Amino acid sequence: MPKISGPQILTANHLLSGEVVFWTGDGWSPDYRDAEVFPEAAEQQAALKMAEAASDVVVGAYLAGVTANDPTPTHFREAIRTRGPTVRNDLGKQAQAQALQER
Amino acid sequence: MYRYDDFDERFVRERVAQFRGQVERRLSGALTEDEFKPLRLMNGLYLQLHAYMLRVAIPYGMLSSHQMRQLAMIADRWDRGYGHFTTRQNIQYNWPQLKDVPDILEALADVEMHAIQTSGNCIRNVTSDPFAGVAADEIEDPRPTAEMLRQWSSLHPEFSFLPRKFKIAITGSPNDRAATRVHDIGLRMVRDADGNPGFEVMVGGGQGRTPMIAKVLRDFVPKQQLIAYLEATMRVYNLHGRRDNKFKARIKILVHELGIEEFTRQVEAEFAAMDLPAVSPDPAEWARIEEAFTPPTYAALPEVSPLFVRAYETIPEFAAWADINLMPHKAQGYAGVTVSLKPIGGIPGDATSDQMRILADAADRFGFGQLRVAHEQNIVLPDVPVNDLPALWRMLAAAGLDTPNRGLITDIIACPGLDYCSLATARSIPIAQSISERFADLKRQREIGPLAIKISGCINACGHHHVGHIGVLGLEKHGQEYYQITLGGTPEGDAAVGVNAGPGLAAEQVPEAIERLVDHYLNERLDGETFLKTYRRLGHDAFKGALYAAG
Amino acid sequence: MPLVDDRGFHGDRWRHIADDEALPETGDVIVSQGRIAEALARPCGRVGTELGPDGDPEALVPHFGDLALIAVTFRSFADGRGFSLARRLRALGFTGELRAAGHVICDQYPYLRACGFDHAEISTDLAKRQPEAYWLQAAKSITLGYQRGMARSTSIFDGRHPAERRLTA
Repeated sequence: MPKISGPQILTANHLLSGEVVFWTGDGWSPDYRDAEVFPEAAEQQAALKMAEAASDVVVGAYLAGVTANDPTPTHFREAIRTRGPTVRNDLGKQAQAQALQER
Repeated sequence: MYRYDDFDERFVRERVAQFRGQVERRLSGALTEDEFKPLRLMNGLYLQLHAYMLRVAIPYGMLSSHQMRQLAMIADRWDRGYGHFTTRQNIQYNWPQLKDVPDILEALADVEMHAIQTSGNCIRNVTSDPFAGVAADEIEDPRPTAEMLRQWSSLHPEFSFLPRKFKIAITGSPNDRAATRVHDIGLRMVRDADGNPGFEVMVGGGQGRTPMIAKVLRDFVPKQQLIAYLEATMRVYNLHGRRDNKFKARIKILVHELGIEEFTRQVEAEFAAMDLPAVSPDPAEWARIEEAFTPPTYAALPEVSPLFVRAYETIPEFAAWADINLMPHKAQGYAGVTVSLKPIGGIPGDATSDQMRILADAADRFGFGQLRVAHEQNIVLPDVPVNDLPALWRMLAAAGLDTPNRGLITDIIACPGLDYCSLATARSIPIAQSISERFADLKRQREIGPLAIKISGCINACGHHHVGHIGVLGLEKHGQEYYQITLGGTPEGDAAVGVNAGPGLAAEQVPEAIERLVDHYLNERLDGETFLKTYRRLGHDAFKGALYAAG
Repeated sequence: MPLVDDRGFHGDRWRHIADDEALPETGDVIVSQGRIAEALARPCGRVGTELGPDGDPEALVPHFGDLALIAVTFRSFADGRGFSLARRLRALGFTGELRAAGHVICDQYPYLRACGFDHAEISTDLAKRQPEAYWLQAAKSITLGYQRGMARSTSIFDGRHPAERRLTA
């Protein structure tokens, strides 16, 4: 896990479905674009604590680095996590996004 | 093959009910995530990068056609229509939901399967030679012992919370196709001077961040005493294996730190104190299990099949496939067939549910309804009459399962890597795909000959890179993926851990770098010399020079 | 701390006595190995001792006749050394009560019993999260095991060959 510095978003997996989710400020969203960006360490840690307490909803919560005011994760691992396997574009979040576009 | 009796059936059903209860307790808060995690892992359920992942045990890689169809059904009903066959002869589903897992386990129990101990710090699925029972070079069929070990290790009350995971591999053949020397315990079938069957027990092999070749613990343990001997070994490990550092917790570190002499002394002392008759399964139980592996009734087939010869002479694609993907069989007129799950540019080890059903049909039509999973992530049809090979080949070709590359440079082992795995530091599959595409030309592949490329997406080495003739290890630095190349590894008889060649490469540089290694080998090789032999003759530096030569 | 066995939760008759604590004149006490003799010298009350995960079961053999209880301690439920220690103690001939003390969870209860433990001593907090009913359920969740030589009545390996068993028994 990369060292925590700079603005962060909070991400986890949904307990029941396993789906990757992001904290929006008042709930969990499957779309990283809904994520709340925490610029400061204190609120990042508070958010993480909140997620750990919400272990009946999500598991494996952690912080992922982003650039200021943009919830797009900077690390390639996290970028893959927002989309799905790079070798199977037909699976994961990227597939749902594509299906929406085609509709 | 082994069929469950009422005891096995009840045992597995109880496990399903237990897991259902554990899931309910997790949801009610009676189990914390920390407490639930080892319990779900002991039923093969991981949390991965995108979703949960369920790893289903395929004991010693053996499957019936009926079971294969059920695996396909599970893929369709609860997953995304495919599965991934692993280097531990298991299958993984990448998208199950926690709430469905008890039902999936129930569906597995319906066909005498389970996910017990496919993860966690316990004795994992026992692996073996995919050609066990049919190989022409076999001393004795290792599968009855493998099945005995499966049963003995299942929910072992003493050994379910070990310092770390524990992998046992077993081979019945002097040509080791089960990588026994890179396992926590490797068992090699041998006979004593009087011809009694037993095992050479090797300990402390493994890959991961500290690769080690196993050392001989005892050169002969009689078959009847094997369970007791393993209990003694496991007890020493359970009591003294390191628990202060996850990365030093495998038995190989204990063996290394104590020295094999001291470790052996402790195991022998434990073994000497053991009540052998109380611990060892009854001879009648050995006999019962052995009976389940009675060879099928082979037909008396002629040595030469005119149908095969005609197809071989007239269809070059068939001839190439037959040259490359067949294995000599102990019964005349039969062959062992490797069905490659490594199509050019494909994802190593993945099979769609349709392909699984076709494999099941092929096993029914042309075999005795049996299939094997090879640790190279391919499927084996163990008993095909040579006469039926052309028809089988056509059937496989129609499903994209006819890739002729067993043991060749495009038969690449790759872990799921960062496309799926939460532990990975880099992707593995795209590297495998780009190498496969670069060496797609079959003529060239055959000219190169046996060459094992193995790719792992992190130091845990699920892709066996340490024992690849060419190993590729995906790492991360400053937010970039990069790849380290190791040379000269092999899991076979003269097992060796590959040597790191030097600075890592960017993903797009890897295929070219491998091409330089291959070209160097082709230029330098003597008649009949494989890549590994040439590497060993010329030495590491010669190949290292070629690897980094300015392109 | 609550005790749990096959019949459910119980209060503990035994007291853990810390090394800096005076020994009570009477009552059942669990003391460190260094204080076994001192505890035995009391006018009445039984004596037990603790065996930590690093402990040496062989060192307790001379005391087996005096000890009514050995409490094998678990620092974490994931640290499985206690299971092997229990099997060793039983193999060495200890016939008194064997207690698993510390962090063990209800799912491990059948394993504990199979390895020779009689009961577990769990924290009040765990007893709250995993109430009696869970332990009773867990005790019944594994009725079958393959392994032989365990402290449970049935092995599948034996169950399959009842006739042979009877002959050799």
